[in-house]
Amino acid sequence: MPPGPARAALTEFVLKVHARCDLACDHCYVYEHADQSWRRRPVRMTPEVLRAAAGRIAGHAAAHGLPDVTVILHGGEPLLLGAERLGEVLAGLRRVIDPVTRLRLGMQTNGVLLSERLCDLLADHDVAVGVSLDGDRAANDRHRRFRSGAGSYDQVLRALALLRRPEYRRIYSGLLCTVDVRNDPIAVYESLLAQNPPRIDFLLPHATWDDPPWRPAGGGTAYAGWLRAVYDRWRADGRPVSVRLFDSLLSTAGGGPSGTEWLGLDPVDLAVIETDGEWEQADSLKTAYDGAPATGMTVFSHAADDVAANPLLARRRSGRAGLSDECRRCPVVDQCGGGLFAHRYGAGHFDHPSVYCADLKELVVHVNENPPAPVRLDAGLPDDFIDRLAALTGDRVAIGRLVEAQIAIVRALLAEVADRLPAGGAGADGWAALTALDRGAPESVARIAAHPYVRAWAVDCLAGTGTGARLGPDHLNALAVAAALDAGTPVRLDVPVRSGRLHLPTVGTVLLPEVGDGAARVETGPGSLRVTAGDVTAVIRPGTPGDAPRWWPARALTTPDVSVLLEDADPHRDCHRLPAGDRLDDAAAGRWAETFAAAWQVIRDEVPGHAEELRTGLRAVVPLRRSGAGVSEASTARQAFGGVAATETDAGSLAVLLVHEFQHSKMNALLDICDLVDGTRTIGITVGWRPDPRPAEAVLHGIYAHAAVAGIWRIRADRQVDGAQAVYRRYRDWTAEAIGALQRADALTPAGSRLVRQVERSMSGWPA
Amino acid sequence: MTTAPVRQDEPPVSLGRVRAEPLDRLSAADISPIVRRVMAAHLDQTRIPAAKFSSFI
Repeated sequence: MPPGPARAALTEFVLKVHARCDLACDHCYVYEHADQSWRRRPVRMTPEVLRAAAGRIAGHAAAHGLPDVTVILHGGEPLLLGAERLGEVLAGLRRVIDPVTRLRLGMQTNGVLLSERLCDLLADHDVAVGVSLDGDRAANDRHRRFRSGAGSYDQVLRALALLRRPEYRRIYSGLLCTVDVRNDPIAVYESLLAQNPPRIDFLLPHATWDDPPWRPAGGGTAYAGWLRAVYDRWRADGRPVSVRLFDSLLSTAGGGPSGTEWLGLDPVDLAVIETDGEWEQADSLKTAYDGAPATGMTVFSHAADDVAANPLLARRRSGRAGLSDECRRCPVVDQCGGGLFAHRYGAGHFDHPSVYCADLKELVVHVNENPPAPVRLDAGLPDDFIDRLAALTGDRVAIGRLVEAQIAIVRALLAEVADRLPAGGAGADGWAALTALDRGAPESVARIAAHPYVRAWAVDCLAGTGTGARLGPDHLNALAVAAALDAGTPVRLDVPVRSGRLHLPTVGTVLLPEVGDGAARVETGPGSLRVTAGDVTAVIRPGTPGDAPRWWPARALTTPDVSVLLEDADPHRDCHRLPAGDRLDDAAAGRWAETFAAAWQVIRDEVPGHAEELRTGLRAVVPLRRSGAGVSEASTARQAFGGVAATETDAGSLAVLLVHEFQHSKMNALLDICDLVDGTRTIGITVGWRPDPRPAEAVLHGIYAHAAVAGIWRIRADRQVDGAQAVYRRYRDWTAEAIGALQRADALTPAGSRLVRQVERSMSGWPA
Repeated sequence: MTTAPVRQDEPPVSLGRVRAEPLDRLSAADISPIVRRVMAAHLDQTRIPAAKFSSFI
């Protein structure tokens, strides 16, 4: 479980790198609303301000041990910086912050100036690019116009066509749409969807009680009505794209976090740095009154901790306590959270509900009463299968069945990725080779499909959310090469190269720094690879152990009866909530091999049934980067069955965490094919292992994993291991209490209830 | 393993068939319910993006 940043920490920083805009949108809060501070700001952020800002952010991340920070380039219009200065800004940020923490870079743009050159630059620096678009031509050009009065629709669509190109798709972050209730909601939704974005958000136009939003005559909750229409259509469409507003309402309905500052009670961890280096609060406050976002601090005089302590910012981070009395009494306050702070302003203070209060309430209730219908794949599983999976002694046969189901799921995902390929485009050759191999050597294809991070890649592809080193549909060619090597079949394909690395899942990574981002021709021969890119040719024998100048072979953690990949190179291994480590050197890999072998002996000795399960289903162990806190951490991912990620630890701890995490992996695989939780009931259940109420599915996960951990410590307690009795009791009590709470909550399907009853029965004979 | 239909008018989806049939013989009817379920779960898991700043998506 990630530790999460300390409450005092800021994690999002908005850099106003350019204070002017090439559009003159009449709904823009920066230029058209109460605060007019832009008039006195420098046009561009100077190198001195940038250096100081980057230093403050890096220092803050280091002081708080933050696993990542987000820096968003904003304006005005950030692309007005031009390619040269933009490149300097991005390189400067990466140079200072990357060595300290994972830096997520983003940019919001109107898209007008976006070009191939700028896209290359943004892709080089892994910048997620959000674009503002208000709908179809009529809707967009109602407000988003040049000073001449001409609309910007054509320029924005040209930018989006660029971002949809395969080479830039991974940096396409989504579309921001400001609602105007005069526009047709369905036409707006359809026009946004037509741009194939990975994510959409709808924003209410900034307004306050002093300057309320436009409403049609008699349109008391026109904004709710507009958003309800879009929600209903989105829901009926089967949620074809993430919509941040709706996703946040669904998440908060189940006690989860919000994804936006204008909903929910989560603390708002962001600050703005203006072009002159002034720290500001969220810039939406510009709509309240002149000077509203000001803090009186600059990056030269004050650290981010000083900004976080600013009274108004601290109030925005205080959840329910920072709201008006009316909000605190409201039944939907956990989801609405009082709306955007700026929208509460009126008569000189913020102690009001949002000026959109009635709209928000109506929307929240509507979403809660109309949750998305679950996509059912009720597997018709026999009770015996559930019982086998519930057995705390482990069951190899049941795991084998889960493995087969997972391979089927990955095959479906591969076919869908292929189905969406443009005719003759990148990836088509790989798909042709893969389908041929599937006929001639199906088990070779199955072995590649069973690699946990093939599914993670396919889901990224289909969701359109791959960023950074992650790969697009042309990765099908790499899968085909890996399967061909396994089968001993010759193929010749162009395989994608990202950041100088050509990765073949389960096989290894070819190092091609000369290529950067591009492709290389790969030919497989008997036990060999011939890789050609421009003037570079490398001949590689994948079975040869040890790193070579152009080759990182996949390494295995091997004992006499099990072998799993030590996965430190697949770009898609970084799908766990904790950051994956880089390629291990030989010494670190050697330590992992020794620790794993010793842990395996512990598992075989203490819980041999679980050893059999792991032998059947565990495919890869991903070394995690150790966090600033230095504690041992581990994780599984829903989209990576058979993969366990962990920080380096001792053998006894590794044994426990492998069993623990594989229980999560099993539960994820079971949830893929069987509904265990009643998705129509959104509840929060208090559990012993976390301070915050948890949704039913998370409680189910916890019961399943902690019961197995209790089982290990029960054995250790029997053997009089120091301290084992106390650990056993803690896990047993957590599990038993959570089972009772989950049963009382009546949140499980019949299959889920059966699973929990069986776990409870297995524990019933355990000592007190 | 046989699955129930996603909608009442769709035939049951067989994971066994998707596992056993050659990839290029799988139809949209075979794969679509599986893909929809996996992607729905993915959306549920990842619907909270890293950045909460409302003026960036």
